Amino acid sequence: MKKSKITFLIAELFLVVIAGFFIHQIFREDVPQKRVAVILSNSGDKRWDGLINGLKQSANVNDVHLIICNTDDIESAQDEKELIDEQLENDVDAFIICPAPGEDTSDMLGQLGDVPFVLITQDAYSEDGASGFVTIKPDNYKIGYTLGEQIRANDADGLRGKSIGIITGYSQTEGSVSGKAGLMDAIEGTGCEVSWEYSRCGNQNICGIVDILGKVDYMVVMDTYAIDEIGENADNGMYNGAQIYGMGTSVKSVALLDAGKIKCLVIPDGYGVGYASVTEVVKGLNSRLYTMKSREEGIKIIYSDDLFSDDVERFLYSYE
Amino acid sequence: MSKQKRRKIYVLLLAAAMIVSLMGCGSSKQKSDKTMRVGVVTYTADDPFINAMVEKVKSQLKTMETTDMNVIVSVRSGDNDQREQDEIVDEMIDAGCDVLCVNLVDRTAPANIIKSARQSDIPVIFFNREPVRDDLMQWEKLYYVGCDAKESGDMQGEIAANYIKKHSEVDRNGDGKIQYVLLEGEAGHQDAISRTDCSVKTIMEGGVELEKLSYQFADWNRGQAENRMTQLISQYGSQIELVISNNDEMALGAVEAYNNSSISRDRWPVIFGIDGLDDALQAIKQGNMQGTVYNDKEAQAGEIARLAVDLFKGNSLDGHNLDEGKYYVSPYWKVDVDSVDDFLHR
Repeated sequence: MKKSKITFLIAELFLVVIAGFFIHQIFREDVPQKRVAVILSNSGDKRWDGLINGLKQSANVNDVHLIICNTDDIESAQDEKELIDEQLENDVDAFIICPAPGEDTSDMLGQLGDVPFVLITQDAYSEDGASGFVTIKPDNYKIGYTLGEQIRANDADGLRGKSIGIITGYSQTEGSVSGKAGLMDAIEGTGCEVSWEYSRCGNQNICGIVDILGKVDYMVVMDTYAIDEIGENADNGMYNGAQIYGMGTSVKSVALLDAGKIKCLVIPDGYGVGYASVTEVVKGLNSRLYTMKSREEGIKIIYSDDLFSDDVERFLYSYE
Repeated sequence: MSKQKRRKIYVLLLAAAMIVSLMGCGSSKQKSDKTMRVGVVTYTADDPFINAMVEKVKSQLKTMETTDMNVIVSVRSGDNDQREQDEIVDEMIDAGCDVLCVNLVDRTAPANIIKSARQSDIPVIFFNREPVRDDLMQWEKLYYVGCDAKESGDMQGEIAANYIKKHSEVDRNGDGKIQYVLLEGEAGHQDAISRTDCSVKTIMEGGVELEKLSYQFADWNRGQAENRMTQLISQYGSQIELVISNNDEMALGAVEAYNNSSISRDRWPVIFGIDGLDDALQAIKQGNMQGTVYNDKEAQAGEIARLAVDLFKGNSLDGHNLDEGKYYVSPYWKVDVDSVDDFLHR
């Protein structure tokens, strides 16, 4: 009698577990996809192609609904806040954000409260160093340092007495500040003089500006928009007598390198940044116990001669 | 308080709470009327004429910002793939968009875009590539801003015929016929067909006898046109007396090909394009091209911007003088060496 009671209880328990499993499965399929909004300045720009491919593929794998916000130039924290507020009304669960230039951006992002977000391509600008937000980006300091190293390596006569012009993106951004710091460290002690620096903002005619700034031996361009414009007007890897070294993330930058209009190009792994950011946000959304982590993706140094090496070709497939 | 009264109060409180919560649900989904979001989708990011026009649209819209309305213009391209363009339009609608401006990849395939826009009640202004009339008539919130491709072909033919009649040296071999080659946009593309047919027909009607040597498709693109023209030069050498191009980009590709060839400047053919790109206007001034037809991107961009704002605000469209309530067709202008200065830096 006692034995049959135990068997009955075990059978009941077994049935409850099975019923629970099926109920869980049924409801799991009914759970709406999480919505993740992506905020990039000029989101339709070709410089984001690799990054957006990474975002989309990762969203597909991780089963989240990605909303790439319609934007033009995001020039301030206020511009970015309006886009964020709009998407909060659109019921998004998390954000992937390329931080706007300026000191206010950190404060503005800090007010997002419980809404999870990951910064991409660069950290929020802060005069005191890292912002402390979760950030997935290339090592922007290393990009500048690598470009400086390449110039040193390629100039057999040494850099003493030579001059450099530096072009970056918006001035109050972590990417511009770190990139410039890396470059300065790389050329320190070489006797090479920085003749001028320029921070691009908006849709400026960068060639016209460079023409006014004057002749230099090397031009280091750490901004995709600027390198594409200067490269287009360059001849044989030179613009106005300056050899062009730079950072670019568009297919056009690569095509200009291939055409010999840019001497050396450093390409950050935009695809990797996009892919990893969605994965990280999803981990954060799926488990409250998970703490999202910052990470740095790689960069590639490319010359026109090694454009068709297996390694570089694989890297460039991410733009397809 | 009696039991009945208390029950009445509970019912009233419950009803009030429901009304408040329902009002809350409604307002959280409302879009801001302060920001107008315009999504512009082009067929490619590599067409200088389209890029110049989009820049004009952006700058026009920015000038129309007020304290009550700011404008966000988001520009993306379909990379010459209609399916990709359809997806981009869906993404833009999903992210929140008030007006769409679409430069179709395939003018015969706007169905998916129209369907998506209609479901979300977002007006669409097609530009530069005209959808088929039946498609445009599907819904009242579809519009077209552009030009008449046939007119540009006619005008190109008129400029070429006038030039050839005034300059007998164009017929270098003196056989009374002008040997010509065509640089065409895309195979089967309605604008390419119209421009080619009308241009050649008008030149012949203008009393110039033509002899066609060859034609090449160059996808409206300068680089491709340069390659095709280089092949034609190697095949026909200095026999070519006239190059008729469906647009300026390809005409400029032909100029590049001649620049890189061994053919001396005095043996070059006369070259005619369409669009009025800055580079082409400069080429006319320098004598490398002989004429073009100015596609009035300023007027079209202005109309797109005004239409977008009126659609966003729900204003009447009476002031737009749209044909059939849908079409804005701007006139073309003939440009040759005598009139080129009027169009430079416009």
